[in-house]
Amino acid sequence: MDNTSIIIIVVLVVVIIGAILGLVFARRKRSEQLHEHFGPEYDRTVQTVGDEKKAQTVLNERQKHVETLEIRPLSVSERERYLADWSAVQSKFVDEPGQAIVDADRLIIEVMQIRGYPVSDFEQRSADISVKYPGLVSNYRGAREIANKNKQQQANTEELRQAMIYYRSLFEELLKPEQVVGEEKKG
Amino acid sequence: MNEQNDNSDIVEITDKDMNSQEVYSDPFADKVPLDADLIPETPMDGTVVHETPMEETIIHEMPIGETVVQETPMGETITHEVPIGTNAGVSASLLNREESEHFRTRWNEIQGKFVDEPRSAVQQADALVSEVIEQITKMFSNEHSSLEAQWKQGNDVSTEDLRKALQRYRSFFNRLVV
Repeated sequence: MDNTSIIIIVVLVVVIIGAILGLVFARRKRSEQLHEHFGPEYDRTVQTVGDEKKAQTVLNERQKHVETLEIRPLSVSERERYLADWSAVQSKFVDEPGQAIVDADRLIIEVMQIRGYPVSDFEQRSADISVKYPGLVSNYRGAREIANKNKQQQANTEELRQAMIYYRSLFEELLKPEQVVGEEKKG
Repeated sequence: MNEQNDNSDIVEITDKDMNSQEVYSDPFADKVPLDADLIPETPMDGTVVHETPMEETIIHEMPIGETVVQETPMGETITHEVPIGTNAGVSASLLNREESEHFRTRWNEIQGKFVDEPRSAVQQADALVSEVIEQITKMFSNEHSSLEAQWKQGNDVSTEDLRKALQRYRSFFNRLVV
């Protein structure tokens, strides 16, 4: 074996090791990014699908799905209208707490629809919300749980009030003019 | 989906509800004249109406049984006799429009706050109701003095004056006991 061959082999080995390390590093970075972006939703997804790799695929797909959507902000007049609608719903809570949270849920769907989200079912909505507002999807789910409980007349007033606050946290974000994806909404 | 179809209704339902709350949530609200005035003038925005001072003074300061000149929003001047008796009871609010609006605005704020701070909302509601009652009491004591002047003039007081005094008491009574 001459020197040249040895050098070539060494270089090849180094390149291959480098490539493998690069891949591992890239994957880890991606997983860190996902974790960072989705926060508690990341862990929740891992728990739900039962496998971190699968969870990452799911979350990746969610992000890709949202990228295909044409989300538009509300116009100033729309925003004002929905703010007024929200105040009305919140006031209504005093007389009809159960109906108020039904209305609050509907207002959220309505705003999402206007902004360009597909709103067919709750899972789709919460998946999209988890991409755009990762810190708030747990509130949305929490409110949904209370709303379901309320359908069976099982929710007490304090829970219903909590649901209103959950819904509002999301509603306020949906009404905001600029799109801030993820970063500022962790926690 | 069901949810979708019903979306358009939300606004209407809640708006209606707000209006009805305003009427029913405040036991001191004068249901007929204030709201009846608001609707034809500015159906879209009630707040504008409250700035018409002409009407306000006429409604609340006009002495019952006297002839008053009323300026209509059109600028047309008409003269009419204020009806004495049963109508008087429903033609005036216990509080003037400005006060009513002020209290109502505060009530709405309190109600809107309940979701965030239930306890403090209830405390504030308590304070507000006390304040309204105080205001009404004050108003009655004013009215009371002028009423007394009408019938406590010794033996000279005419039956007609007594009749008018009784009608004014009834007017006040009717506004309190709805």
